[in-house]
Amino acid sequence: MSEESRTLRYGAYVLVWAGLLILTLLTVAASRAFAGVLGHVALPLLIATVKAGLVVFFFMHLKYERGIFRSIPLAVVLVFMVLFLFLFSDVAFR
Amino acid sequence: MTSDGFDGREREKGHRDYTGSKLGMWLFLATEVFFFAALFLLYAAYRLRYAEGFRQASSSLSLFAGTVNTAVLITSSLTAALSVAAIRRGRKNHSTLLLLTTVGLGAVFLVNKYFEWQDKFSHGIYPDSAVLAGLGGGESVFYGLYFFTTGMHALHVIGGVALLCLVAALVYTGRVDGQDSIRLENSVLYWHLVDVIWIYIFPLFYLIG
Amino acid sequence: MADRGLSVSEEGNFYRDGGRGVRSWVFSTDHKRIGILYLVSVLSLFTLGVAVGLVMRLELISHGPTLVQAQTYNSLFTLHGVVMLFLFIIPATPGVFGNFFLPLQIGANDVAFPRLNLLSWWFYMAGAFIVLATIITGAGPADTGWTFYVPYSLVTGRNVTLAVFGVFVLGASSILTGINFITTVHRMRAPGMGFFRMPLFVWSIYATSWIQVLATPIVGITFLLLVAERTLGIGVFDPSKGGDPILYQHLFWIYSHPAVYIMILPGMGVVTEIIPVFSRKVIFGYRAIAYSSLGIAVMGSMVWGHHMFVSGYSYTAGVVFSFFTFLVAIPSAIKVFNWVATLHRGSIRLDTPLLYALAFIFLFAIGGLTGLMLGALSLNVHLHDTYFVVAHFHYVKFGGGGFAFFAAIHYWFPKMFGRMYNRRIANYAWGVLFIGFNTLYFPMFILGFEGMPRRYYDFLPRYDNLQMLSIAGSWILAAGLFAMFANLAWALVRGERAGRNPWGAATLEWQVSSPPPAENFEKIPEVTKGPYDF
Repeated sequence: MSEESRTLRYGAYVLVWAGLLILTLLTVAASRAFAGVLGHVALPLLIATVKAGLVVFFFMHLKYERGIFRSIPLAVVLVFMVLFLFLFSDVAFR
Repeated sequence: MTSDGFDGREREKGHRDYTGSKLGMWLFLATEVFFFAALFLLYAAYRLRYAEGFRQASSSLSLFAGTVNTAVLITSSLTAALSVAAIRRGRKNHSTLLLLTTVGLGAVFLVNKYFEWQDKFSHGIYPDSAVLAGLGGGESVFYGLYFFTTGMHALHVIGGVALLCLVAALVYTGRVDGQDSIRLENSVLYWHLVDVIWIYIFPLFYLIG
Repeated sequence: MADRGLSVSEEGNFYRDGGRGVRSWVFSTDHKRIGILYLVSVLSLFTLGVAVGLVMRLELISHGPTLVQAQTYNSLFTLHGVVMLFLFIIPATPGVFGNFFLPLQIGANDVAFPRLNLLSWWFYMAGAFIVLATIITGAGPADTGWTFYVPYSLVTGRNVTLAVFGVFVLGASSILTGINFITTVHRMRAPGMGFFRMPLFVWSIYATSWIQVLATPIVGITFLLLVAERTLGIGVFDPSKGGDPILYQHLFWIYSHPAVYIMILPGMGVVTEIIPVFSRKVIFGYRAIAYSSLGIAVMGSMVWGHHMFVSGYSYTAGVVFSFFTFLVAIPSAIKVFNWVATLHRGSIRLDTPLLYALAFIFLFAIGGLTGLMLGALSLNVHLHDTYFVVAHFHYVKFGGGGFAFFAAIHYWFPKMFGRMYNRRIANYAWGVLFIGFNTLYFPMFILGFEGMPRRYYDFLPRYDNLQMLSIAGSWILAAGLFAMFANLAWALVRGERAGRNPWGAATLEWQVSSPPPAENFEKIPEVTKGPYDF
């Protein structure tokens, strides 16, 4: 794993940054355009996840990592989902 | 010597275990995620119960300030990432300058946050205030979570700014360079994570109203 | 190895070559010295916890106030819980034996981050001092129980804020240790030491570390919320401000139930090391045991709600958590079956470490099976907050985690100190300890079933006999503990030289001299066989 292969061109970082800004504007627009759960919960969280994915994959270089480095975010997401589901087995049915 | 007893199974870059250090950092970042994940779980549970109160309280936050801060933090993430790319190319001064820009943007974020809080305080909205007691339970809980979550996040930003200042000095004096950049990379990883957490805080508190 | 049995003075060891004086210890980054630091600190705090426990038992020797008033009793059981859980059993086995033996067992010269390792001991000490400072500062020690349940913890005038902050610092220590061990296992294994050639103690520490890293931050932030609630009144858990106390219980147990596995998994690892060595057989079902450690870590994070059956949360949650509680018994049972299968037809040598390991299996089985009774939703309503629960978790944590810790001391003592203890006395002490333990805690099962509630400083006359029996048991247990530690202390000074490998074990820590040299391995070993190929 040579260092060079893991260094993106400056331009690529700027592209990711532009994408993040556009998504930020998009999420604000979506929350104004759609009412209810779609505009206020589903779309903003979906867009936030895409943005977080961009940061983690490109800025944090996860794209170039293998093995355990990929397992850590996966474990984090899975555990969070488990906690969420089990917590909601209470709060959603109370 | 045992103090730096590294067995040299995979020696990269002089004496440091580059991959090992990075692995330690990623694990630390996982703990940071769960630190905030607990708050998000609380948020989700209360949001289910107090949908209307949350919506009302949220709409009183300044969407403009929140959006600007999101853009500021995203931009600071870009400059932080570029500083790593610069050091890999051996451009010490570029890297230092980019780090200082990141620090500056972090400061802008904090100042903006300060004015946001100040605005709420001036309207009598702060933890344990009489105004909050007069509002419904939903709004009170929303503001409780808002102040605690953004406060915790601001503490992380302050920590990140301090860390990046330190590492900028290391880069400038040449103690961190293209051959031995792990301290820079780990600090920048931390900064990115602070950004990722904000990326979730933003819709949860500003966009649901 | 050719030079078996060399005495301490002829070979280098980390006591002699690591410098002298207090500073060379408290600022040492040598994992072995840090292990010894943990040993001294956790045993001191264990002694404190035992003393508090004995006073609590003694208080119940007669009706009404005997030694202490009701309010003091509340502080005593809180202190006992906080000290025994956060200061003893959670850090004990990973802190002492994980630090000392994990690098040795995988053929490394130290952990991945030696300075971080030292920092985590310092955090541990800082947390311990903060927790103990609650006794003498402010309005006195917390009286909430170790769970710090809201809303009472929000309104009590006692020193809850400081206590909770102390536990937060201890959590930071635990997280740093976890990060360190995971990185060490991934990065520092000797050549040839694949994941499936690692000793199973390493596997159990590895699984434990993952729980520490992923679960501890949740309780950390929860305790900070509690601090903010008490100092700023943010109202997130306060029912008068729209908060929900049950959500506090959720967040607390999201960590604290997996924490039960932080307490027991390393102990299971110790037992897994001991059993093949003393039955001279390759461990039965290596992979099943390794995977069941991870299985426990995963399943253990899905059952926290069984602490909350009567809290008033939803019936659906009760059913879900009850169901998963039954499932989590499976990986534990897998381990027990594999241990028994390893013993089967082995050439068993009934030495002190094996006695402790067998006691572990017996006591843990009782603790685990009564856990299933408590996990049954309907039965729990009857047994909740009674002595039955107290008996159950003492069987799991003390009979399990505690006895495994004693097993580890007796197994690794010759390696850590280069001397052998008197095994006859050690065996007698084990017998006294075992009898005392069961006399102390078994009556509590019956008391609980008959309705004796936990955390009461008084009781009805109809519980007289069993309470007396239990109190007598606490004295027998104390005598056993005293005999065990006295025997070990004697061996520290006067024990005969132990030699390199007194038990004839095959794992790497027994290939170096006793006590190990400062640099562990002169040359990193090349691993060509499994950990239990004798």
